[in-house]
Amino acid sequence: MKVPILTLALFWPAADLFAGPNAMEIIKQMDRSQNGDNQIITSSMTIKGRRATRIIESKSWIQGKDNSFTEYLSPARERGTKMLKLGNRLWIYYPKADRVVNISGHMLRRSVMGSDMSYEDMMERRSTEETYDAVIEAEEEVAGRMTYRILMTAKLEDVAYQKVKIWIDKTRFVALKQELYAASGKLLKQLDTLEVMQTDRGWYPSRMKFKDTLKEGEGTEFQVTEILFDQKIPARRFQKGQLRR
Amino acid sequence: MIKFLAKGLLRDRARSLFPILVITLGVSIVVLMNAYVTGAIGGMYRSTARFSTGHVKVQTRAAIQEDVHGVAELALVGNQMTLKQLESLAPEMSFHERIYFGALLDAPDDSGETKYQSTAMITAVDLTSKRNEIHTLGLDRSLMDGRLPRAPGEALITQTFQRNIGLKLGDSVTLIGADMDGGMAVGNFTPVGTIRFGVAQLDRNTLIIGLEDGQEFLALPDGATEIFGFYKDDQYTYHRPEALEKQFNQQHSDPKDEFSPQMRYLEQQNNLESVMVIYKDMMVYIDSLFIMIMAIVLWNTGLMSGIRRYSEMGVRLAMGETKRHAYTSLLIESVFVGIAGTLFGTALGLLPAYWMQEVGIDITGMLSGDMSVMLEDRIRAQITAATYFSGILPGVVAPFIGALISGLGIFRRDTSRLFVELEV
Repeated sequence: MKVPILTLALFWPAADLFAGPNAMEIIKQMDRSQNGDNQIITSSMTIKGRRATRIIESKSWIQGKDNSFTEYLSPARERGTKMLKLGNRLWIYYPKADRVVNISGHMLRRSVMGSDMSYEDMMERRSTEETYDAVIEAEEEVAGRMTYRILMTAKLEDVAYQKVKIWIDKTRFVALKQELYAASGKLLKQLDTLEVMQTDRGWYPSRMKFKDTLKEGEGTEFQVTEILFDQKIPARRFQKGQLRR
Repeated sequence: MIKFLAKGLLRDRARSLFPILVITLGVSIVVLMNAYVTGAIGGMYRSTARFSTGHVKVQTRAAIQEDVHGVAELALVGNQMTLKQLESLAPEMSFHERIYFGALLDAPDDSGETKYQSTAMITAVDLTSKRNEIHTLGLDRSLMDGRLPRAPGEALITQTFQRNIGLKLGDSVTLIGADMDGGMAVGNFTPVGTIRFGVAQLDRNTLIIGLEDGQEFLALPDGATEIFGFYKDDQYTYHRPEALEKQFNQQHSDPKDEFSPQMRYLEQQNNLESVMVIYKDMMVYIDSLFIMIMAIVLWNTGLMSGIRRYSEMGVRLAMGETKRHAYTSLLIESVFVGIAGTLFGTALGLLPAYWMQEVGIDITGMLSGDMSVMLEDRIRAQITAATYFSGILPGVVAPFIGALISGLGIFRRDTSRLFVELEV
């Protein structure tokens, strides 16, 4: 009995190599380097409009895929606005009106702070494995880096984007480019990674450009100024009462 | 001779009754159609100008180029200067800033949680200064309940919208939208009155707030998405502001600056040029159609009358009356018949026209949401001076043409055979 087991053990990596890399495994590897159990992110969002460019700074506390709390720090018009996501529910507190408003239904398709990102983009809780089938289409060079071009096709109808093309760095396992498509095949959004940084978990896209192709303008740029993984976040951070504080 | 012919028509009813009936019927239809078309198209123009196009409207070049309405990012700014320029160019007009934008309306329950959300169309108009639009928009006439806004943060809500969301006057609602720079715009407003415009597109989900509130909400100081211009005499005629439009655009619109102002007059917006041309021509088509139909009927009637009056004409010619004189008398008779038919027909047509003017026809169910023109939900006729005269042309011309053709038979009569024909 030992021989076959030994033989199998010896030949297992080679067999895996001959089969080629698995698309879903690559995506999982990328997820592992970018998402901890908890994370605290300080970031800025640069939105280029036709008349002005706005820079919105925010701090987010994220717990898994379910819970997140974001507080907008500047500019003055947006300062104090807070957003709480609990599962598939989303509330926004507007200090100017002193109101907590529930964002649901078709409202989720609206833009976040006038950016190219919609609330819907923040709401997906299910894992990629649950929602998409993935297959490696090709190996391509993007921004001087060799990538796997992976095509993800939605398994479920209620997914925001029915088809996703993602270019993942072959060695750093960070997405350098993404294209999000509607069921009709129309390109809806495009995401380009402009800069990456190394964290204790791996490589992380620190500057990205998000473009809603159906919207005028030059797109929205996200800059991660600080990211802390696996921090202890008190449970009260994800309570509705925090919104008005 | 005229008295003689008139007596003939009155005493020989067979000669006049049927033609008068035909003309009465035709003229009554023409009169009714004239009042209906004037009322329906006039109502459409009034509503469209009042709420959508103005007699002239100024927007940024970018807003016009992209054919968008109510986009704060493409709004006009520095409007006090623009208003002064407009008023010096066209003192016969009044100009008003308006801001149109869409927003999410969130109505809270007693605990402040979201009770109801809906998209709302917001119109911010001047409600307080000398340029106020209370009368232009008919806000005072449209007020169904409550009062007009007097203080900042107060609003008017359409009656249908208020009922749909179950809002009580005095309850606060939160509007959430995008400001001029694309940032978040949030504000609380308190509806203090309900209105009903009678225009389905507007009555569905409109909220009216003060101009300054709108400017504050959208971070748009001294700005507005549109400037509307109206003739003070409220009389709009085809292409009336064309010279003003050319002059304003030449002086103030810069093709290199997408945010510079550009003026368009009514027909240049919402494809109204073609509608206006159809309106201009419609009454000509209606008159021509009825003249043709009635002329054919009356020609036929004249031919039948000619057979019936064959002997009479023969005797008249035998007694020495010239063919030309007999023919002329037939034509004069036809004019009498035409005048009588026109009078009866005008009176008959005015009755339903008056009903349609006062009561109208409810077309609410036929209106769809996305129309380029604003239609009132009740189509009404409009009786004008032209309505009273609209029947004259078809009423008099049609029998005249009928007599002109049918009377030609007189010239075919052979005088030498008259005695044989008359069996003398």
